[in-house]
Amino acid sequence: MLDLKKVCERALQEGVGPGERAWAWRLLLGVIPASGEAGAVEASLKASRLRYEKLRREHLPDISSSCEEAGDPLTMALGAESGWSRFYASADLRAEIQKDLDRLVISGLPEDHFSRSSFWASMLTVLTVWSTAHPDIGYRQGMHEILALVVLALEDEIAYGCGPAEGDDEADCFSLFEAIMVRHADHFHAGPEAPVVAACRTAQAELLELYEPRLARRLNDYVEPQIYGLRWARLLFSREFEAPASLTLCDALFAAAVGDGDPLAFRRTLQIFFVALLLVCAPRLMAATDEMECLSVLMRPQQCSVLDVVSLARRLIEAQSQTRLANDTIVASVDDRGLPHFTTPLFGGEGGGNADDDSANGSPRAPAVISANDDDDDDDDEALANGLDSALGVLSKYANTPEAVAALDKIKFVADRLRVASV
Amino acid sequence: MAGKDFGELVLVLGDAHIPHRAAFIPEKFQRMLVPNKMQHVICTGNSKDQYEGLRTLAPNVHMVSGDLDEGSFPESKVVQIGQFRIGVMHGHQIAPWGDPHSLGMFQRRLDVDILITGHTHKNEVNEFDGKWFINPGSITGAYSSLHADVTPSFILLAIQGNKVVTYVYQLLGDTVDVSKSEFQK
Repeated sequence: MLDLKKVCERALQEGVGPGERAWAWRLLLGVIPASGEAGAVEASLKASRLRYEKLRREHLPDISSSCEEAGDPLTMALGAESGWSRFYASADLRAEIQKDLDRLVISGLPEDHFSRSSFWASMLTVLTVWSTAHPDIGYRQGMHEILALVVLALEDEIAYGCGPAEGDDEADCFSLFEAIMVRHADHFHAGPEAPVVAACRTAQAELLELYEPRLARRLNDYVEPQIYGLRWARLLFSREFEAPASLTLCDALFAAAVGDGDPLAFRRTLQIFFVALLLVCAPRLMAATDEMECLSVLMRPQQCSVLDVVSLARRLIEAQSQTRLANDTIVASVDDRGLPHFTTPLFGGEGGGNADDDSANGSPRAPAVISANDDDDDDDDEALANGLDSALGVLSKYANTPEAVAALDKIKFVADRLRVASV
Repeated sequence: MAGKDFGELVLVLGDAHIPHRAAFIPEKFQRMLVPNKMQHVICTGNSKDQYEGLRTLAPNVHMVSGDLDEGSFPESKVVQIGQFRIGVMHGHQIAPWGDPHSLGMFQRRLDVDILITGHTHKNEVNEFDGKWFINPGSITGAYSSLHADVTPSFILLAIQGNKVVTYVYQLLGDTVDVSKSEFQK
């Protein structure tokens, strides 16, 4: 049977093969227990199928079930209460989802791949049932692309004949989709304060800054992270790579996010992969001269190998693994000026460490890929000041109370002092 | 690949006789008959003026000619909805008007499970010899030569699989009365 640790290792190295992917995802996402005993796996699959049947009956009203409730289909227009409004709302939802499904095209696959798939009808049902069962977020465009990834994994499993003994394709599709959405649904909320927007900002403005200050400065000058970042994050980078490479990236993503029960583990993992992809794009981004050129690098499908992104992400995670995690930022250890240091070199550990190297275990700060010899105090301070300035730029758009404006002024004061100190 | 069958709603009405015998469809009926609620409209005839309006209600409108329609529409129509073959005629051609045996003859001739006719301005849902005969009455309550006291009515069919649930809507005074029944193939 599958071993969680081994699956994680493979997923973070070369990815999982198409025949085993669905099982790997079931394991990584907790759809089946990690204990791996045959009995426990069968039992959990059976239980999740029964659960889905129940959800389907409850959240997929049809005319028969609606007729059984009191009330006729029409007098609600005159103000009568009726179970028919649920039916009509569901019919509208199905029409909306079907529109998105009809337009679903995944790069690397023929246009009619899904409409000819044995999962085609199930895709509509799974999305309808899930959205109706989660009224706080409902259905958002893009969820259908997440479902497409699940369908591709299951199609491969069927093609390789590796599926569970007693198959129920639609229920299996639902349980994998649900397991992803338990961790990911929040990222479909919209609006400037939405979690996904904050996550993109943190990734581009703060996390990237820790590894590649010059790239971070450039991006923060040129690009609002949610312009490219929303698509990256919401669709699990699946539009940035063709299938099946996009699936390999998911293998690594799910493996890296295997949690300690921390509900934010998935978001943090997304942010790490976000930064890894930015780092892989770094040479082209540094060569770009304006916002349009940056965006054309960030918003077109990537030509790089998915495995480069995975290996970078793995190293970012390893660098983190000896860390204290504080407030969603990656802080290895912090010297007495509050500057972060990494305990293991990221990119080969050459020189160029800080002059004031006060990290707890004495290892030099790892040089970043581009600014190999630029890392010294002055750039640190200036980088921090620039980081603060860019954050201020964003916040000042929302500062509409005197207290907020005063707080922003205080931060600006600190930024200016840092800059003065760096001269 | 065929997905789950969610069923279909079919509005059945006719004999509006607008403008000659009635001025308009009763206001409460008008409020209930809005787009996006039904997939089909079946009209038994003598409702020519309503045709364009009916087309806004549903993607499929099936209208036949009444005796006053000057042949603008076909004499009869057969429609497949779900598992049911449904025949539609105005009914002035079927003599004696409303007679079950004569209706049965046309049901066999059209080879349908359900025969929908109008003309009598009297709403009916009847089973005869294993087949079903439906008359939506007159949606405006227009007078007929058969009887003067006509209650405005129409029918909604909810069809899924081999089952039909019928809702008969009547305007009694100012109140909409709904009565429900069902049958199975």
